[in-house]
Amino acid sequence: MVLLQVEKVSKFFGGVAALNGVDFGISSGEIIGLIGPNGAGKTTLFNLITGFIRPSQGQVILEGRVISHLPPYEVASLGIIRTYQKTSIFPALTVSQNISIGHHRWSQPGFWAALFHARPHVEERAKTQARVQEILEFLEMTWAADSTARNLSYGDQRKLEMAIALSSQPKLLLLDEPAAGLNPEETLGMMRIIEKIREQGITVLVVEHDMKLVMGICERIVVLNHGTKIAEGTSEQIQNHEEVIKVYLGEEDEELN
Amino acid sequence: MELFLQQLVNGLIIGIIYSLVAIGLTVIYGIFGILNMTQGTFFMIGAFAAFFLTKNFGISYFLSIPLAMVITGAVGILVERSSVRTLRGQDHIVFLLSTSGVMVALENLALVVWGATPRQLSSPFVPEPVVILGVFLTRQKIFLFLCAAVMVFLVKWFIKTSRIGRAMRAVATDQNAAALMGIDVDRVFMVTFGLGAALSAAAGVLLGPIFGIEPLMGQLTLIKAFVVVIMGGMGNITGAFYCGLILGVAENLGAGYINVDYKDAFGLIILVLVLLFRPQGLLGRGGLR
Amino acid sequence: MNQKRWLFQVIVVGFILILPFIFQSAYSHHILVSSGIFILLSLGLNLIMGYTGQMPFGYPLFFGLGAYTTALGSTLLGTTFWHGLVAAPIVAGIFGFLIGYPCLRLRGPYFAIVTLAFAEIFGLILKNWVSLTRGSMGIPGISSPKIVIPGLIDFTFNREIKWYYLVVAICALYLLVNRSLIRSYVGEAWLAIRENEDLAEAVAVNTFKWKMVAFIVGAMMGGMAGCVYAHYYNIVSPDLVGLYYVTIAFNIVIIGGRGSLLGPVLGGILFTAVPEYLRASKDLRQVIFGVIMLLGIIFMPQGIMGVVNDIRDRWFRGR
Repeated sequence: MVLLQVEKVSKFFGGVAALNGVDFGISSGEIIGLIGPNGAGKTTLFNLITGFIRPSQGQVILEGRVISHLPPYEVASLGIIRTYQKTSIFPALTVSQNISIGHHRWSQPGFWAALFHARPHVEERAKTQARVQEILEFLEMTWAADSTARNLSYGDQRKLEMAIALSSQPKLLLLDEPAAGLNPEETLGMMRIIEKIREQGITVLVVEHDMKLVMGICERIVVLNHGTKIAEGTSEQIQNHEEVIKVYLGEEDEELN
Repeated sequence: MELFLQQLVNGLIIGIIYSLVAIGLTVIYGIFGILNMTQGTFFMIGAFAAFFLTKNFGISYFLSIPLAMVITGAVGILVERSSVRTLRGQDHIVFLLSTSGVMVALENLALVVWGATPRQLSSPFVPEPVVILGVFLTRQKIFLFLCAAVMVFLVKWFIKTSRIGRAMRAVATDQNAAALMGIDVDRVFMVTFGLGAALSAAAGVLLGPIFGIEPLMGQLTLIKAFVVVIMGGMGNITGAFYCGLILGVAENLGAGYINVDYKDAFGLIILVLVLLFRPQGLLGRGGLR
Repeated sequence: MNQKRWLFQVIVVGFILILPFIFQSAYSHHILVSSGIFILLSLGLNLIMGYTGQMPFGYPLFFGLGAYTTALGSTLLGTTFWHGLVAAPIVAGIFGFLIGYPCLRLRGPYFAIVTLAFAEIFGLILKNWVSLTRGSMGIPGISSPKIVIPGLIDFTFNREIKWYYLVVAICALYLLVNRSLIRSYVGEAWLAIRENEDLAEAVAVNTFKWKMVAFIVGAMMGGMAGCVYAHYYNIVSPDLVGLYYVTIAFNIVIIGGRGSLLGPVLGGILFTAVPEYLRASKDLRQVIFGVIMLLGIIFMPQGIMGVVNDIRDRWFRGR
């Protein structure tokens, strides 16, 4: 079942094509990798899918519904949640508070209930707290519940980012370089987390440079270069794909020279 | 037809005053990226400086114009040092508050010192009207327009050709790159604020003899200048010039044909409309030109 | 820990309640009441500034709207303070919605100025629509509040000390409403917006809606404060929308400390009580306020509460 379809999407900035006719689909329950050298357009594509920018051509379709023109808040409420390359958390709040922000997607008691602390408010608080607890356990972070987010180590902050995204119960989770800055051990931990996420029924699209992670957990991989899709397939197919090798080895050649 | 011409001319005359003040404001925005709340205060300080010089030192009105500009320019530099430079690197909104603080302090200080009753800034021009093509003018108004027009031209020329002018444009485009190229960014900041203040001061001295001067004269002028800057595009000197004239004319045509009491509201309504529907201004975008 | 906090709060409340008996002159009571009115005004501004991160320079617009609504009601229709207490925030809230909806999309300085423009337009209308508002002369003769139950109670708020407790009660209402919202998912949304607006949006927090809510609630609080002002001073004038109130309100919030509830309270007392005692002229007061605003922004951007919190944090860490 196709969850998300990126349909011949192009994005021009001035005269430059950041994305050119990119076309691929994501099925429910998959873990898809998106790779390509720096500047290939991966972040632009993410911004486009999540509604921060609009396509110059083409559309993005979620479960049969065109979403390309929707603002970020609406795309998020439809279930597409992303993390950021640069650590993005709520610095002055505690870890628990950070994670509970996610509930806004699925539980809104309403202004008046909140003002008078009526039943819907109380129920929402309880459900949210329960969910926060679940996620803290899922990510093995219960020890950090009351710590201030900005005081966490880098690796823990990245896990917190995941926690916030998870607490909104996404249908599609977009991860922007989740392993950036992580050591090999932490990277393995991250891989396990992503697989556990998929077991919960969440579809994942990962942008990563760390090939071990990509090849290790992604069923399908899409390769971008200079804004165009140059390959799509399983990890074996990609590893043996002529153009992909050229793009990556070509880079290495330049470095050697 | 006569009413139309009269209001048109009235509008151009007050309009060029708006242009002058707005050019100062827009130059400051182009370089600093901030909206300077003290721009109206400089307008007032210029007028009062001229008043002080002509009354107490017997200096001629004509000489008082450049002197007032220099004095106010110096005040401007002081303001920049104390309330802008000290907050460098912070969110732009902070400058709105710091310059507001200076504005409130200085304008009320003027109130304490001089009181609220308007004073007369005397000029050597006789107040008898001159009639040209059925339109009533005074020599002061004609002088005002010519003088202001010359100043606008000089400023544009200065920014385009002088070394500091080019440095200013560089800083307006990219502060870090300019610094890397060896431009003394600090000096540019000082000159910019001083220039903005001086222009506003000149406007105050030119308009002073016509309507009288009082400590709060800068407040409404400030808002009008904002309107002009936002209409004309931030950092756009030519835009500020034309839009100042447009605002003056619009106000006076509105006063003549619609309602004179709400004259000041026209500018405000334009401001609201422009900000809501076309925040990048009617004519322009970033940088300094 | 909770017991100590509870005790502290009881002492503070007790102190507030017996304050008029410590300072017994009618003049002192007057100062207390006017501080209170400014605190009401600032709590509303504090909500908007602290939780949307925006600075509505035109905020006194709502103060003036509330004041004139009840003034007109009282002099033209014979309505009372109690009607005004309901009508003023509703009117202010409606305008809060009308103005907030288009304006909240704007960035910082533009938002500040466009709200200022609205306030100026309102001021111009007040000054020029003389047939309705009597222009710069203002509307005098606004009734004082009464509580009348025939045969049982005939109570008029005509002395400062009675007003003091009324203002304290309304202040308590404000604090309760604020606290209630802040402790709910609404306050959570506000904090998220303040801490990282982009991230909040990316996890489906409707940032625009919650900013509107803060703006409207803040506007309503300003409107109600205007109603209190009108019935206490028994006269309103177009000055209410002017720079004087803008400066004081902003000073109170900034120097007191944004985003905390105690900050505006402290600031309110500081900025009304102290100048009153010093008998400074209105203009000289403004000069000092202007300087304080400048120095405050430079040296104490988090306000007094910020400094207090810093000291408290350091004290706890040191232990």
